[in-house]
Amino acid sequence: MAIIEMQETGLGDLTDTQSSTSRAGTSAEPSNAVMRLRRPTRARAESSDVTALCLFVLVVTLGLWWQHGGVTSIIDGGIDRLRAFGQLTGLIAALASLGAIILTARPAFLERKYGFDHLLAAHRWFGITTVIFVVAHSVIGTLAWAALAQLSVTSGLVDLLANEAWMVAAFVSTTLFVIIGLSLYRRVKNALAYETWYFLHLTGYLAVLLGFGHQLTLGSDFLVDRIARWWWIGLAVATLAIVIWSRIGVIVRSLRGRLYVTAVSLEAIGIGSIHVNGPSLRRMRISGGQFFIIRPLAKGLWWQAHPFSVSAAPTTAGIRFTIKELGDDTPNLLNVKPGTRVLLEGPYGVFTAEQAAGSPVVLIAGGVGISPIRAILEDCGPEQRPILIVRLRHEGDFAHRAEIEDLIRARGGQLHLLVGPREWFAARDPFAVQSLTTMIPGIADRHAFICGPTSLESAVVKGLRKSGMQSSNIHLERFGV
Amino acid sequence: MGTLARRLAPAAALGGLAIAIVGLLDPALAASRLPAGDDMTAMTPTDTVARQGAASTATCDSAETVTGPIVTTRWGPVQVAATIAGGTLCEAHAVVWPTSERQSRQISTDAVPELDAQATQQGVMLDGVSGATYTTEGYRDSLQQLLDSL
Repeated sequence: MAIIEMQETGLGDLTDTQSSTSRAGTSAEPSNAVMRLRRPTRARAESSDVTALCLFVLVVTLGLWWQHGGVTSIIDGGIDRLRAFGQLTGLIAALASLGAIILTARPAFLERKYGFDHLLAAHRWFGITTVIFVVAHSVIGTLAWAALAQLSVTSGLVDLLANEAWMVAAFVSTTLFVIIGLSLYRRVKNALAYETWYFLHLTGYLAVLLGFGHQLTLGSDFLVDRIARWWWIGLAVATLAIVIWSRIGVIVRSLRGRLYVTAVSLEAIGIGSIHVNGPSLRRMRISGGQFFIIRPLAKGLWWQAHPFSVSAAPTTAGIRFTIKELGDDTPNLLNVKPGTRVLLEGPYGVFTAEQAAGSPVVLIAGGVGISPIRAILEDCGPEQRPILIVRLRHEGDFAHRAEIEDLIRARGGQLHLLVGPREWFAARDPFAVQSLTTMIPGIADRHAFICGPTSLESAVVKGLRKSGMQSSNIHLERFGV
Repeated sequence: MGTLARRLAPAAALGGLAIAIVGLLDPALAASRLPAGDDMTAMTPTDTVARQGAASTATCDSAETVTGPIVTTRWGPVQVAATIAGGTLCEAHAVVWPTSERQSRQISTDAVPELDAQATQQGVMLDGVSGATYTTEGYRDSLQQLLDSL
């Protein structure tokens, strides 16, 4: 491991000046100076609670719609049927948008349970549902309005926009949702720089806000029925409270954290480690394998937030993140000067050794996916007989190789290296049932931890499932969706 | 332009445009939500009387009831009746209001009592009920014609 930059920072409260080399590999064993950080508390919410709450909100909302004659109108037919469908699609769109906002706010009670990656995946589905139902609602609503007023569709639309409160806002909101929906297409997303896409995506908050007005003024459901009205306002206020508490609270906490970069080291080609410490570190609860969203407070870097995994057992001597520089045109994160303040948002994720609960494990990493896998390996005991499979394009891409070999040896585990370009493995798939069962004895009783490119993850999951592993024993980290 | 500015620009432009359009064009943010009809611009003496609000209880005891014309609105007919004493409005109430559609029905059951109260207080210059724009318009129109006919 080559240390490319290492210096004392001269900050008064920097008590730990341990070099990054001595941290490597052996830091899990607490000495009198270095103590392991406490692990995060378990999530209090049960899956059934969350499901029950979601169902409750859905049933009450649709129940109010039913009570206001929604179902009767649909059965009776006529113009009212069109309007009832318009209301139904609108209600679903609004609920889905609130759900998407709550999911992306990643409040701790959900994040500890499901992990950031699953919340993001769910956010995506809630978001797509929102866009589809917003468009359907706009079309059906306009048609219904025009039919009721006995106007042509165009005049009906003009009438809505010109005369009804918050309807211009509602149509601007629809336009924003459509733009956000289009930006989800892989091609569009890839054509944009990540932050350009991210900032555009943030206009979704504006879209939800602009859509709210007409829900109260135009929809008779919330205009007349006071209970319905307060229910609806209550849902919006609750969502707002979760967003403020969860998003803004995180920023405040990280600003008060007073953490900074103590060292940056190069681990492999394009892969490096950032070491972070600070006075607030001792109070943090972190498990190896979790990740943080890191913002270095340096010129050109502070507004770029990227998720990075904790790659070694976190101790009072500091946290180590192992990252890959993607060769973007942005200032390089690995060039951050020691002493630079960083904002850490997290820890996030449930990709930790605790998931295995002491069972035997197999760890599978692709490329820089080795980062959280390395930390999980460190948290495994010899009784878990860890088997590590590392898939790399080049042997030089293997970060933390020496540490990992030491950890494997200390635990009596095995290391399988699969090195070479993809074409080499085209003929004999290393993740086919036969090769997996050969490499992994007792495969059915093991827990699997997988981190790497999506293609690798899906190939491995498929192979493991076919080899008889239960899906509840397979753990993935999919951050950066 | 820095990298941040370049990446923020599309979102900022989109958000700014959205807010500007809503701010300039949305009826909710226009100065007056309710349309000012022709009948409002030409003030007649009757309007002035009607606007002065309720006459004293004593004169209202001997008030006569007058019914305004049926005004057809988009959602259905509106007709207002009023008790008048000495050319002054004592009390107004709708006798016909839109009930044809479910939504109109709901709006009317909530909006009509409110309009009655407003008309009794404020006469033809009543504030109106937001969300019941057309019913308000019809109400005002019928009441105006009622007062004009005195």
